[in-house]
Amino acid sequence: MSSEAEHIAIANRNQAVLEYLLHDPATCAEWVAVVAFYKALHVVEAIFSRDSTIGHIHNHHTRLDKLKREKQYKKLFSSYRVLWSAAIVARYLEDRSPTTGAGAGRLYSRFQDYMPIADLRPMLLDQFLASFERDAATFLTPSCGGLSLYAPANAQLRQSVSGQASRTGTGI
Amino acid sequence: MISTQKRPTWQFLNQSTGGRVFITPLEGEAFGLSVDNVVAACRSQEKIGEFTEQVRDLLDRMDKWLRERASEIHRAYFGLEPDGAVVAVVRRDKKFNPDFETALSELDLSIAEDPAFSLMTLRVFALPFCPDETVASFVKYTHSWPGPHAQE
Repeated sequence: MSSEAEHIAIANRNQAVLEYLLHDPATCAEWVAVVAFYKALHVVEAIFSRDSTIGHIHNHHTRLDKLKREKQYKKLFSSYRVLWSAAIVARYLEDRSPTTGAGAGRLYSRFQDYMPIADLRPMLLDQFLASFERDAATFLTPSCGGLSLYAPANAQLRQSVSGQASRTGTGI
Repeated sequence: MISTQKRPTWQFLNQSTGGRVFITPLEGEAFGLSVDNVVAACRSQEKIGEFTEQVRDLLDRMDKWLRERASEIHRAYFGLEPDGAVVAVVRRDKKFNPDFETALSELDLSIAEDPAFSLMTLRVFALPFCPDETVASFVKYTHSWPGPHAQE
């Protein structure tokens, strides 16, 4: 069974991949959703590894069930379920409509038809991944068990503006 | 006067004592079971009735929730899979909707917290507008809302 540190290390690798993908989300929006979910999954496993009554969970259904039925973890469920659901759509939504002939015209040619690039951060990551991590932090060892937190787009913007301001000596 | 009617004979089995039972059914071959398995089989039989009732109640609960959001929902599909019940809600819109997702999480939590669904394991998720064939790859459904006759 993996430890909290091992799961956090994997979550951090997912965070690094997420940051890499976010440089060019138009190329791989669906993978942003998938990696964000798997990061959250490893955070949940890190938390469960510290709970001797639960331990390691092998499937998505049981993990979701534990989150919603164990009183202390309920607050993690709502945002985790949304990340899980978006990742399902990212991996499996496939339009089988004909591409030629009468009635042709697919509803989905890409994941962006479901989640436009402009919505990816504010509607999925900023709202659900950031909120999940905020709640999850309380269950990890001090300093979030070493977890690299996702920085919402507006926080990054603030950091960047604040960095520029301190370099130029202007206040904001 | 003592009745001459034959009374059924009780066979007393104590689970803590253990042992095995040999059964010769009217159909099929005779078989043996441990007392533990006999207890588990009888309990399951009792629970099947309760589980069926809970599935019916869940369908009613979903029906109510879906009706309240009929303007947003195209169809919904229910299936029983080996690891529990699954509900896929197909929205009218193609786009991800965070408010709808949050409402779905709240519904899922409220069902998990309700003792009336103590035997149910449920998974609910929303799909953007898509045809039946697409939904079939997410859930092997046995029931859908609205029913086929109520379709627009």
